[in-house]
Amino acid sequence: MAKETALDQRPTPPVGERDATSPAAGLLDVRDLAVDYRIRGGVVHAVRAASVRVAPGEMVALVGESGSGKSTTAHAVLGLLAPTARVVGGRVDLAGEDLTRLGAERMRRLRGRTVALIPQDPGSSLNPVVRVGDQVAEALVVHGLADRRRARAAAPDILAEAGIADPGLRARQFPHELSGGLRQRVLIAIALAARPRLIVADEPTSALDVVVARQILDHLQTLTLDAGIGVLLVTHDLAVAAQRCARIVVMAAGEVVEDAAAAEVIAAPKHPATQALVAATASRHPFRRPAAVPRPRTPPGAGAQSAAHVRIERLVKEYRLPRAADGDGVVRAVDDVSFDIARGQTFALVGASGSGKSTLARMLLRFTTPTSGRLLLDGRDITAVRGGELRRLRRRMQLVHQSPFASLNPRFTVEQIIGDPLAAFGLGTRRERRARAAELVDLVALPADTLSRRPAELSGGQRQRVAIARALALHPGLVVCDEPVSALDATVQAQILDLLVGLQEELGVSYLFISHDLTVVRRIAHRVGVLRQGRLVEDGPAEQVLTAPRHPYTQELVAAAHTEHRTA
Amino acid sequence: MTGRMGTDTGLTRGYVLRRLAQAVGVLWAAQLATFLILNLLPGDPVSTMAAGGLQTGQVSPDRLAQLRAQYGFDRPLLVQYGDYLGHAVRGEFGDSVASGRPVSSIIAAALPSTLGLTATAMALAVLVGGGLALAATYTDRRWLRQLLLSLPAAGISLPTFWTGLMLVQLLSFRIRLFPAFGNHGLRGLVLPALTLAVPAAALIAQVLARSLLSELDEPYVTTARAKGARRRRVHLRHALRNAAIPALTVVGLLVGQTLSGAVVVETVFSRDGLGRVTSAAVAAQDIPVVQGVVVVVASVFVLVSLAVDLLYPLLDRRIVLGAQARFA
Repeated sequence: MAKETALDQRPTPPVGERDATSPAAGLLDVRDLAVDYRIRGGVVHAVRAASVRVAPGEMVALVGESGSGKSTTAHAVLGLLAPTARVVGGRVDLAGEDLTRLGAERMRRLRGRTVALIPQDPGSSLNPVVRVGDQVAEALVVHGLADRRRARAAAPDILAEAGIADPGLRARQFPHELSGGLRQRVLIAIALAARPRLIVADEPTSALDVVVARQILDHLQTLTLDAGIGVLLVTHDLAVAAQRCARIVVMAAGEVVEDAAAAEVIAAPKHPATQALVAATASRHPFRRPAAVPRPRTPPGAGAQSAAHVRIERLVKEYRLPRAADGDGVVRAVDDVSFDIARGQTFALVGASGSGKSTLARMLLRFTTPTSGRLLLDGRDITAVRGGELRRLRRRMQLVHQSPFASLNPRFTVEQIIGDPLAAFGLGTRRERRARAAELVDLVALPADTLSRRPAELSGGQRQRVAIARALALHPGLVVCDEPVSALDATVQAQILDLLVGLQEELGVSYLFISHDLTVVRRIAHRVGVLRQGRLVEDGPAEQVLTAPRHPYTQELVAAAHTEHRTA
Repeated sequence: MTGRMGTDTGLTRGYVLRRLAQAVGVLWAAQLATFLILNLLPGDPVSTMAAGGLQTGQVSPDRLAQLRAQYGFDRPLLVQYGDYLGHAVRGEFGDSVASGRPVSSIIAAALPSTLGLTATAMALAVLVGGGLALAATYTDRRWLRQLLLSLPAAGISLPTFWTGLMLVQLLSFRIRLFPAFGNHGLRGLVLPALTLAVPAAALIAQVLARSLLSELDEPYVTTARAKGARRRRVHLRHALRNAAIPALTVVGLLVGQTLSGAVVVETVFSRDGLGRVTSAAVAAQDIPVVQGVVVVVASVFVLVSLAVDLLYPLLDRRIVLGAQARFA
């Protein structure tokens, strides 16, 4: 057959690459894979030519922007392609079997047993209504490796193996009772349960903060390398890939464009897509802030009370625990926090998930009432403002959400979305609102034809631009950005941050910028405050906090960010 | 008292007590509303009764006054109400103005038939609707899925009386499988229960299918499949348990609707039950009976919605009932 001959004539891989593993010769061997998606009115060639090899005990990075085909390739390896997808070429050899030719039931038996998945989002990848231990046990039960009772008994050991303390207790808990880091460890436990030979890790730490992400990747590396398990690490973060993997495979527009040693990819990227990724990573590197000196522009009339645009004084928010399981049943989500935001400047609030960042933002925006403390906007106390006055206040403070997917009404066009705040306040005629929407779309550097589109037709970065345009529609003095780039790819992150910086210089708006990512904060913040368990443990000028942190927790955060990006 | 009831559920004793207090409040309000509406209606139960009893023609004013005094209708409204309420909490609803029988025994006689009909209809609706939703979301065949998913919309748009008449026409007159009218034990239950079940099943199917489809898109389903779980297991053990919650809400609401639907259906099929008692009582302005029926039906409503609310946290432990605020 022509196909066989073609395969025989493939150039043999360089000796050095295959040597170490030659007896097992490639646990996973994806060759010239091509996958199409049937969509309404056509076909999308999601993957055109993807070739990836993984040897036992090897961790290979598959890197690319979203839409590059890396996730489709990963799903093909698991036999979990969407019903609309079709493999139209190439093969996926896993332990000597071509997965593209396996029937559904044969493929099912391999899943979990031979090839396992560590999914991306620990928040939604566990079944919310099933106990953690049972979800781990299920991986054994479905392959007949243990009956229900024995599998349940084995679950705590598997959880312990994944680095979970107190596994007996955890096994009886439900996913929502665990932190993001713990949930990701549970997902690792599920992947490891049936002792697979290959693990596909699909952005396993992109939803976690740096400290936790590092611990989890460390642990995953130890576990898999020791057991000779091959790992295909799918990520958009070149820094993570470079640090963890000896070999990096880069995908762009459905094709593998580069496949080389990590150091080589970083030092001398050949393909433009790789170069873009490297550039984006480098620009995210901490402590190399470009000389964008803050240019506080004092708007007319601000005069005397110039300095603090926003003043937060001894703010406290207490929540009563839904179930008083321990202690007095009150949790201080925000604990005696004070700081100022200068006009036209950016105050960045950094902290792990659960540190109280979002609660603080919600209090400032008056969505949540503080337990005690004061909020001052332009020197006026807004802590207890209500009714019509509160509504008028909303014109002066706007929010950009974390998720560009959930924060835009899918049934509205971009023009309606951006014009909505104006309509809500009855500002302008319909024609004027349209003109303003067009102006704003231009301001956030979107093409004019975006106006007639709906959110589903836009990319994540474009949607976030729309959200920013909407926030600016009412000329607010303050914009609260709650993790505005954490759901975006590295290159898109950089673009959005540049946009925010540019808008600030042009319009003189103040930002409260919330993030768990120090590398992002560095690019935009004039001052940085570090929140930990509701307390502001450190705040000061950005350069100082990021280069000479005083509090041990900040030092830990900075160190973690540093190691994660050192290799880049 | 906010102690925890179970070790693991989101139920608190305080919540259950509060809900029970609310339930009593709702019952009281329903009963008060009925009392006021019936008393404000034009017409006079005593005249009606007297006219019915003594054929047409004049009833002497003395006789009317005597009857009013006998039933206490001559007293001020507030006193009547206080007296009524005092008896009602003891489970006494007085005597029927029309027949003179105690209201409690009239209702007690009619209730089992109606509750049986409602329960049968709901069981059918859950089985048929749930089965339809599961089949529609499980099948690989696009055409079959489309067909099954389009059935509920059709079912909802059929008016109950029409469904009833068609079923009678088909299964009773043409095939002679089931009796069309009257009370004939279990066989007599089939047609009215089916009639009531059709729209309920359609609604359950629609809500459950939609919610199943959206759950099947959730990342945890991918996790389950990546473990090697079979489709059936993913469908039933993972997606269905999560999809059941909105469907449960609908079932709770439908119990009330089906109960009131029973009134119409009982009339169509000439069945004895609460429905016929009610229509007869309303026609005769038999205030005590109507009030008794309202209290009983409201009780069923309140109990069912309480049961549904208490079931939520058992299905999904994230639901913490009666919590002050959600934890950020």
